[in-house]
Amino acid sequence: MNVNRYRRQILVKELNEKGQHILSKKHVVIIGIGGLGSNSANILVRTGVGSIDIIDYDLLDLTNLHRMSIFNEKDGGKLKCKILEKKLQRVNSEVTVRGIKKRITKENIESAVRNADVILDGTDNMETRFLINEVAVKNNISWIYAGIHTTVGMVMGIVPKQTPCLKCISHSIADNKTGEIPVLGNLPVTIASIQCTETLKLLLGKQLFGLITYDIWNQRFEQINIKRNPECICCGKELFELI
Amino acid sequence: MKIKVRLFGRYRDITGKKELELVVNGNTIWHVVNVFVKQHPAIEKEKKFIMVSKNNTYTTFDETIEEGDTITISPPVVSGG
Ligand SMILES: [Zn+2]
Repeated sequence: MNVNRYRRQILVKELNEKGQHILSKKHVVIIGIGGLGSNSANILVRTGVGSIDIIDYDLLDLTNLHRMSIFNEKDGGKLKCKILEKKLQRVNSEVTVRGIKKRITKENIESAVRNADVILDGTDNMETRFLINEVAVKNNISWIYAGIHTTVGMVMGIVPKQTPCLKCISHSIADNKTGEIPVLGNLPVTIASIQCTETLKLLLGKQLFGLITYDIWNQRFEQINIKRNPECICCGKELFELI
Repeated sequence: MKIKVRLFGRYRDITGKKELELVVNGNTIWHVVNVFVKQHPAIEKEKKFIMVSKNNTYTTFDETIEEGDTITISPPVVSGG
């Protein structure tokens, strides 16, 4: 590892040189390349996380560009995972970036995340998030939920058996599958940044916050403590319904 | 009974307040949520998914309450990406 390229962030005591070395040995899997996944991948590659798998099956569309700052008009119609791999590999050749064309299903998710130290949620639907939640709890892999809507973003790091899982808070999750989700273009990079900070803390074995909510329009930052639900069918009773 | 309710997120914009005192005829959080939504019918559609906590810990609508408890009411979890 070329320590010099990280000189400025090594000066940050929360990370320091030891932390930088730890990060260089870690493997992160990002599921979904939307506003969150693309920005989180960009941040973690620059930060120097050892290897990053980016999983998505979709093509880049003009309507993506307002919130995905690493792409441009020339990328239109191409596979997001492959363009991102190419661009990010040029950003940091010390990091192994793999763009994987795959639609995550219950059949392939376990193999996709097998060696992950942390899974990042870059999806845009709750169905896949519950799938990630189950596979993460079952295999004891930490993951970071993140979601966005209009001007509001939420992030919650989930450490199986230690912190609440997504199913623990499922009462507060709407099953809306209708229509396009409105998002202010500059919101995802901010929420991705919070998601990545929680990821770095997880990789370095630090304590996480509970459910973090940020409203970028009203500049409102809130955090709610959440306790595990001992009756949770996923992390409590370990009944895995989806995988 | 009177219950102190702290509001999060856009519920602060809807009410123009960070905190409310609601008069509730019942002893669960569901009763609190019902009183709140009745005053703000615009959020009726998401009522089922409103996030609630009692004394700073996330909980569910069937949680019992007593005077002196602090309840928080927050908008549901968001799902875009
Ligand atoms: Zn759980």
